[in-house]
Amino acid sequence: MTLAAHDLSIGYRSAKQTRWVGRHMAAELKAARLTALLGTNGAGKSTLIRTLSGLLTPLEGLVTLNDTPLTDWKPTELARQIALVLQEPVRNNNLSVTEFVALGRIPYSGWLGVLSDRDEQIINHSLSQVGIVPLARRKITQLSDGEWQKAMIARALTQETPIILLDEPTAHLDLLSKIEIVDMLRSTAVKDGKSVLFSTHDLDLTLQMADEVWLLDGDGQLYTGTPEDLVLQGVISHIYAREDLIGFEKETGSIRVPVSALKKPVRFTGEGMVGLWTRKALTRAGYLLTDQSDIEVKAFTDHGIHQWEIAFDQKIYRVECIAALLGLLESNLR
Amino acid sequence: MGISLILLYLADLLLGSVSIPLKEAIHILTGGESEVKAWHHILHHIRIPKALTAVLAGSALSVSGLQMQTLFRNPLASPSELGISAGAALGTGFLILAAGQTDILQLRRLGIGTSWLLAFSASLGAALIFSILLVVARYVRDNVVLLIVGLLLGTLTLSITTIWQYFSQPDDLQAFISWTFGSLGGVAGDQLVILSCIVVAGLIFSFTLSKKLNALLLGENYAMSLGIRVSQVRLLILINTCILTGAVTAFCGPIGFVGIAVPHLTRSLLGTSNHLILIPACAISGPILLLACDIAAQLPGNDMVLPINIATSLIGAPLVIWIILKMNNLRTSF
Repeated sequence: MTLAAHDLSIGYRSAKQTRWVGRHMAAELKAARLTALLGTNGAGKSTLIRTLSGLLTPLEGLVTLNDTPLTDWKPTELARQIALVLQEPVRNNNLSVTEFVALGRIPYSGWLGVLSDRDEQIINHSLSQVGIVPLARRKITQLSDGEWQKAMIARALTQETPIILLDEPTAHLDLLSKIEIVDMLRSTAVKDGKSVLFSTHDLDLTLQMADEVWLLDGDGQLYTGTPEDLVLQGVISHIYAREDLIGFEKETGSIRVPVSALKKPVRFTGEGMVGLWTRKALTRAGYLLTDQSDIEVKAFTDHGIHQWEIAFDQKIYRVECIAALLGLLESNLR
Repeated sequence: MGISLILLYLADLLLGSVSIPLKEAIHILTGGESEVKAWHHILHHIRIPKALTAVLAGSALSVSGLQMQTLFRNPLASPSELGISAGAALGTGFLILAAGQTDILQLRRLGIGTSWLLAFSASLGAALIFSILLVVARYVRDNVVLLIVGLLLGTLTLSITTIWQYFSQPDDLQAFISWTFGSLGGVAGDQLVILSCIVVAGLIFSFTLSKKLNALLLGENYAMSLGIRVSQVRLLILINTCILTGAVTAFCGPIGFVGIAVPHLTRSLLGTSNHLILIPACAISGPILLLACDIAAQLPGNDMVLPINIATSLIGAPLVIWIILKMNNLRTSF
């Protein structure tokens, strides 16, 4: 099953006006790959996912599934090919996790929706795949954000589709839960050979974990490729930039943030781990690291203990943590 | 549940403004002849039809309410609260006006064809309001606002009916007003047959919609992604609710609060949102509530009989107030 966008323009059309969110996009979702749909807030990630799933009609162009336009698919057949995880809340304090996950069997069950033994097996399998078997009888309103995302993923897995589209499955999650969810998606894609597309605005996580990136630039353009290619082509640093202060650094693979405007030169020497983190600390605090300065900072490890030496005005100070180092610099350089 | 329904049904047969000794009543009910002819007549021609009507009306209104609450995802949706009953009343009134028939009671005594027509025009009136509500619900996401719009629509519809009342003869007016009080007692013979046919067919139809209603628990987007044709289902629910509510309202007058209260009571009693269970359960617990109201309306030990609508309001209104006060909870209950 291949889901593809052909010269696709997306947005919302009402009687009064048409709001274009993206124009002339082309992309193909790859099987057995985790694809991240990246973009800043309002870039059109949700709109694209809704259009790809058939909930929204394209303004122009086509979305095809195995070369057949989505609109030509029968709804039940389509529901057996694409599963969807949306951001919409489902508030129902009478629905247990199992009942909720079981709704994923709707495209397969008979006209009354009675579950067969095979259905039950698939439901249990999905629950254990995302690791929420102990929560099976819990009401869905009593789940934490992370558990709820897992329940939604389990419901999508229960739908047994070759394609899964997820709209911000990691929003509102702490870092560890985010990694857990993305890892779960990646193993679903790689082990089960599914095409998984998830939208996110988490650049760091995407660069480390996604096989493919679809990048919405905020002006309606869609770029696709492996994360590394997009970095080398400068697409990411172009999009993740605001004036000169904020931007993506190709050299480190991380986002550069504004630093305080102290700009006092410091001569720094330091090796290894302690050197790296001292350098980060000094940069964050706004010091310019140069070769020429009457202030000298040295970081080193002595008998397994990190130490710092500061030399200026012919005096030498020794401190045992970075906080003390920064404090000392600050009080003496006023 | 089934047992309490049967018990209440029997109690409803035994209690009434004319007291019939228990022994005699059982004797008559089991097919024996009684020495007092009037008792025989009362049981067979008044109390049994009335109790049957209560069962039919109770289940029809409750299941209507349940369907509407799921469709609108609104705990306060129900035939009487959202003006559907008022629409049915308008339909009934319109038919009477158009037919030049001045007395609604007289119309009731007419042949089978008229009864069908009455049910049909009431359903049509209900459908009119329902369609307006569906359009409003597209733009209004807030439950309470939708409720207020529904209540106002109901008031508007009633005022149109009142204009008709204003221009009618005093005799008709009294007939109409007594109809608005609601009565389970006016349905007998052919009308009861028609009402049973409509209600039983409508209930079976609702039951076949269970799977689709369950999908709607997740909201329209998820339902669509599960292969449900939402607009089609919306139309089916509209037709079904209007026929059920329309028939009951045409024959019994507008009966309030059953449609809103029973689904809530049933849901919280059974702790489930599964319509495969809820629809039959509501079809049983609705009659239980209405029979209980009917018994209470007869004020045991007294010759007076309160109109059924007043009894359901006396019991139902506090219930609905309680529901609104617990709204925070109930926003999440389906």
